[in-house]
Amino acid sequence: MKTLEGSMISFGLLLAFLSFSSHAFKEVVSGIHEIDYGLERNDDDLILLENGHVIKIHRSKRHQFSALLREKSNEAFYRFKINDNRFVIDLTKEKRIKKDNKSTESITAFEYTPTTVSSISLAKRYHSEARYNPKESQCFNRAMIWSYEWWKDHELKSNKIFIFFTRNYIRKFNFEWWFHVAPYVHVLKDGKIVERVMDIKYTNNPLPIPSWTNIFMKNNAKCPVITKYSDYADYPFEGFCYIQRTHMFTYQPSDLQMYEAWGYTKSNFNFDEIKNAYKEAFDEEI
Amino acid sequence: MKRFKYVELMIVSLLFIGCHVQNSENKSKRITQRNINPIDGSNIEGHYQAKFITLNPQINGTIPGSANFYRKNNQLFAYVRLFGGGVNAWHIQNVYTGARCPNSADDINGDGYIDFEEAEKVLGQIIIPLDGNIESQNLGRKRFPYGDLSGNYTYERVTSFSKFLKDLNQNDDNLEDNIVKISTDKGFDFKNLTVLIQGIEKDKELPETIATKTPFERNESLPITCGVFKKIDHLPGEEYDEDNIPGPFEDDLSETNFYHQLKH
Repeated sequence: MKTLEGSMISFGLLLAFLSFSSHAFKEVVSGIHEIDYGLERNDDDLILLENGHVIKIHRSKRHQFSALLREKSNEAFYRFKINDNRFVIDLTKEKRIKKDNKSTESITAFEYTPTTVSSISLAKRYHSEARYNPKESQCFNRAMIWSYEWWKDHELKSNKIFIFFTRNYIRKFNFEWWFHVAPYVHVLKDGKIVERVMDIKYTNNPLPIPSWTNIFMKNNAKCPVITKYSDYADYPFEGFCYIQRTHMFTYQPSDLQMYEAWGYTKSNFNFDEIKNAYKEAFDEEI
Repeated sequence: MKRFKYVELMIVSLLFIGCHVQNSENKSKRITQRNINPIDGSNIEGHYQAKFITLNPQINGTIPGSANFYRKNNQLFAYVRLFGGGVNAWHIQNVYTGARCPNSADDINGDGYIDFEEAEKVLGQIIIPLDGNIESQNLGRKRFPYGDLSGNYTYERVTSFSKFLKDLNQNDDNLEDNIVKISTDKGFDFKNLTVLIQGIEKDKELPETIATKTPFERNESLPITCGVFKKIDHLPGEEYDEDNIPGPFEDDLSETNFYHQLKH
């Protein structure tokens, strides 16, 4: 049986997105999820980072960085210096820190029953009381803290919804993420249960899922619902987007991959992830 | 290298209609229509995918992923995604002429493992090494990917389709190895070719019964996943339907929610 050793690498602390507003560049520290070299001769390289962002290497600079990137051993984090157009102007390699897994993954049967919020007005209240920090932060860290605090304060068992953007879409609209995640809840409305996304950063109210995806889809594409991560990952060049539902303990796409591969799923909040999320998204140490 | 034999070429280039093919042995008996592929590769367009089937799951558990070829105009993109293979393991990956993956019935010595020798009998000969360079069978120099700290990797290479096809059509200058060329007059298709991924961690112990092939160690050559290429003609997923929300649902509203409702 596969052990979890090596399967859970904590990204949180090292995924800091460091902004230097006094310069026309930023530094991004992250592992590399994938590199897309494009299908057309004039395509720039897309680097899909583990933190969900997409940065670019101009085709004229490809050779300058290719040796470092070819080695993409995944044992390294990279420190990228990027300009305003998200093109890499410099990069260095850093040692990746591997942490022991302390979470509560479960391979036993785990049935998760989300809370049904009794009304839209109550959902709006939860939405309005969630903390907001205008700083640039990672969506998965914000989603984790909102979910955690609703659970802690109201015993609310929420869900999460991932939206995955295909390389096709990223290239077509020069889009800057390959995934985004937000909590959503079941809400009772007119005697029926509906789904409402609670993305505090981008919405003023709980939104139906299609309205939420439209915020990010510049072509108003409808995002098909998938139930396996591989349904997104194995179709990078076609379609525009996919959405996948999961429970509130899921942190990053790697959790979805582990569930698909081995049936591992988190059955509780992982303290290290909560701690990292507070620090990265809300500058709080717990 | 040997010329692609006639029978093997037929398996690759024939279109099977109206029957479910169980294995390559009875495949020839089920042929209802022949489709000889054009020699310029104009039959190849879009996305071809081989979803992985895990081999020897007692080693690594289930290993999801896929191998993909995508042709657009004259660009050919090869993309392999594997999740949960060997940590830092070297993964040999090749596309074979065979039209099916080995299964437990191919475990000839009955040791519970499908080793490379047993797999090769089913898979036939290598036609596309997915190594450092897919433009050529030789230029990639067996630079195959390694798994990361979680045993994952993605492999991506882009090349000119015409150069790729030209290389496949060249004379076979090594008749001793297991890599074949295709006849210049027979055309080519990705459909029904097979991909094999090999390799587990160096320190995993394997029984002596597992055969390998020089120069590879047993751990390097052990098959871990396999897939048969198919043309992708529709995308995954279902349209979002607000009236079809998956459960389970709470039977009753929670006390917490009623409490908050009352406080309102």
